[in-house]
Amino acid sequence: MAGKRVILHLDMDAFFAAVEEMDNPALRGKPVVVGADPKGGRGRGVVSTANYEARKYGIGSAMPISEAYRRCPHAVFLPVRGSRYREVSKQIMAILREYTPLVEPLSIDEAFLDLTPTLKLHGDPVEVAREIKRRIREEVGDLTASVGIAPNKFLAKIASDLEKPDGLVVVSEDRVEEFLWPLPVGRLWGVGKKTQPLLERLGIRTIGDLARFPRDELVQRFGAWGVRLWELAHGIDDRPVVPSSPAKSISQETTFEQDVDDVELLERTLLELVDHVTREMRDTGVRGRTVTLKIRLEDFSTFTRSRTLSEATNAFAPVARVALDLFRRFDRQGQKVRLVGVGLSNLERGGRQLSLFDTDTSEERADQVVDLVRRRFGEKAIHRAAAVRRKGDKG
Amino acid sequence: MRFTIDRQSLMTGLQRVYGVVPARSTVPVLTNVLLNVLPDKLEIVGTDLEMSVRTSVPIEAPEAGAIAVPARPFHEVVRELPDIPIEFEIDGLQLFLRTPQGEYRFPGTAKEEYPAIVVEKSAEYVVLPTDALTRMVNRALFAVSTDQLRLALTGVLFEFTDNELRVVATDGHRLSRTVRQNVGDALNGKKCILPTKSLNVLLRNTDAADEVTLRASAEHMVFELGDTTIYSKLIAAKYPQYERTIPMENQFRMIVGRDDLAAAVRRVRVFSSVISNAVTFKLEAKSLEISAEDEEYGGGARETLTIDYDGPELLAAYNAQFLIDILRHIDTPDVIFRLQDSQTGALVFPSEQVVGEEFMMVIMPVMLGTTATGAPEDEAAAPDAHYYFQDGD
Repeated sequence: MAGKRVILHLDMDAFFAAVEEMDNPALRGKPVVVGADPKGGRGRGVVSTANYEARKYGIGSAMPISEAYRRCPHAVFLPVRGSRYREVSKQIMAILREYTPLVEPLSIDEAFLDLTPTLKLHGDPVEVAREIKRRIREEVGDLTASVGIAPNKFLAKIASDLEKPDGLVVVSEDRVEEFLWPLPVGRLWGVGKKTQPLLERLGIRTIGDLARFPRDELVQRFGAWGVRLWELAHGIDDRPVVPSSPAKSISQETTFEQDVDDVELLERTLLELVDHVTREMRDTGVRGRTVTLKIRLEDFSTFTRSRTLSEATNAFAPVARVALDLFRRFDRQGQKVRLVGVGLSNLERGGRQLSLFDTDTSEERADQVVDLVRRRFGEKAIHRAAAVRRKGDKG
Repeated sequence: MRFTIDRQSLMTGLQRVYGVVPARSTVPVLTNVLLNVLPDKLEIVGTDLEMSVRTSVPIEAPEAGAIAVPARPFHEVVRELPDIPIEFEIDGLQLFLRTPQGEYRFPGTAKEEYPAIVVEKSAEYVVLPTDALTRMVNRALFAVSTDQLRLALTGVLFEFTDNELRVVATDGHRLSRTVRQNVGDALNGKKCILPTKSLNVLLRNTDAADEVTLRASAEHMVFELGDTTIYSKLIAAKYPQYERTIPMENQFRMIVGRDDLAAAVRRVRVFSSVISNAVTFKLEAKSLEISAEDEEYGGGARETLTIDYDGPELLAAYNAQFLIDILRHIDTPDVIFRLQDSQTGALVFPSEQVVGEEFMMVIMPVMLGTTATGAPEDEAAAPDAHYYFQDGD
């Protein structure tokens, strides 16, 4: 990558919970947990986001909802309102795009900005960051963001995380070592539960330890991955900021807390995922032609199975039929399932081709009713019969 | 056992059957053709188990015999031979073809190992002129669906009712139906869905006879064209109630030149969205304006044709490819549209019908605007990214 770059990483603080607080100020100061229904401690899902109040009880993202309930039964537990968060996200992304065309959304609540080409236009990046944070509060609502500014994506992302919430951390090129080296090696992208113990056995605890480790030895032990680790430890990261193109696929997946063998539970989960995905597509006016089923088995082997329809759809019923059929044809060879996912690709937008047969329209009409009821009375007001957990079910 | 056969008639017979024989198969014997020698004719049979073709070529043979040989090399050799008499000899499990210049040897398989054609054949039948059947099938094939989830729509419906034969195909977006009257009542009540492969083989054999005899049973349909018989399994599915989807009550009539309309649609479609491929029709008393806007790059086109139209101002959008497909099947200089509104299908007819036939197509519109299904109040913009419902922190 030629020349110096200025990369900004913006990460919304406890985004889902913050949006809930923004929409309902009575929640302020209370522990708020957005995620699955805790069902008095018997719920099976996980926490999506906990606000900072709830985090004081040790509640964090991806924690089983039952565990969160055990730690703080008096917290306010709320369901995930995906379409509302997307709406707020869209407003935030629109503000970001006013400062540079090079905006790469990483997820619903974070994005990279390459400010290099527009430096002369907007001036000091730190001022830009302050202005963005202020505008989000003024134009979107009472939400805070944490920002990192650095010469590359890797450093910017680490920087934004350092002073959460409402942080603003700048890493200048000459202070990379001072900033990076004291941090634990686990902060590096891709160093997790598996790699960290391996590194620690080599006496590598901090990023600085890794940076001082002989490069050749890292390559010997980890191959190309070793080169990448060594570069990151020296703050080298050449990946460009790639502005988002419209989504190529839309998908949802669920990892079970315990591997599942129960076909009925698997199919029901699949239908819930189809419900989420098709809802999101209807919200955004997108239809897909290819349905993909993803399955990860207990031994971590991962499979996908796809089928392409003759016409694009975002209705629940046709996608559910295909997803179930793909699932039923899949041979698990007796293994339990760790993860299932459903996605649609081959996306279409714009004018919709009408069909002669009203089987389609009646299914679409059912979806419209479901969507309307949910928008008016909340996510839990109405359920697909096939996706309902029956009383006798465990969990 | 040997006899002499004229190369040209052998080639013609082989061509009738060759299209059915699969190039590869999990049942290897199916890549063969069965040659059945009878005292006065050579029968040639090919099958893929879903459909079969049996034809015969007149010969004089001293005795009967039979062998199945690999279709591809046999076909290639016969194709490349000059038009001369060929000596044909079956010796055990080998077939020899001999000419004054050469000898060709094919390893064979016993007749008993070749699947027999088992078809329950109705005694009742209907006879049609071959050119009428060809016309009806040609008009239907383009509208067939490829969606394996709607199996019935992947075939062409032959519906016998009220002394009529109705040949219908639809993929849900367009529909084609030809009704032929006075075909007799022998098959009344039969509804047969034919796979497209069978019909394509039928179309390749329409030169075999001027008339076709159709027989139908619960699982098969049989087409007899002189010495050639085509047996087809039916698609085992229930054809949807297409009749009530045809908007017969459409009130407004537009008459327009077929070629002018097709040419205009081909020019204007350049600017239509790659995905919906839609062009917009705006109809007024004497004019049809066809337009498309390229929302991505900002281009656009509009063209105005003079038409004969008796309805109020009307706006509707259609997939340009569907329009072109439909116009290709109109064989009169003018085409008649019967319309209602922007969300109802348009009926399309040739300006003149073949005597005793009624041909009609339906094209469904593309919904105007970009409003999303199920979210009328939301703006239908593309999502910013590929989101998961799990935020980072």
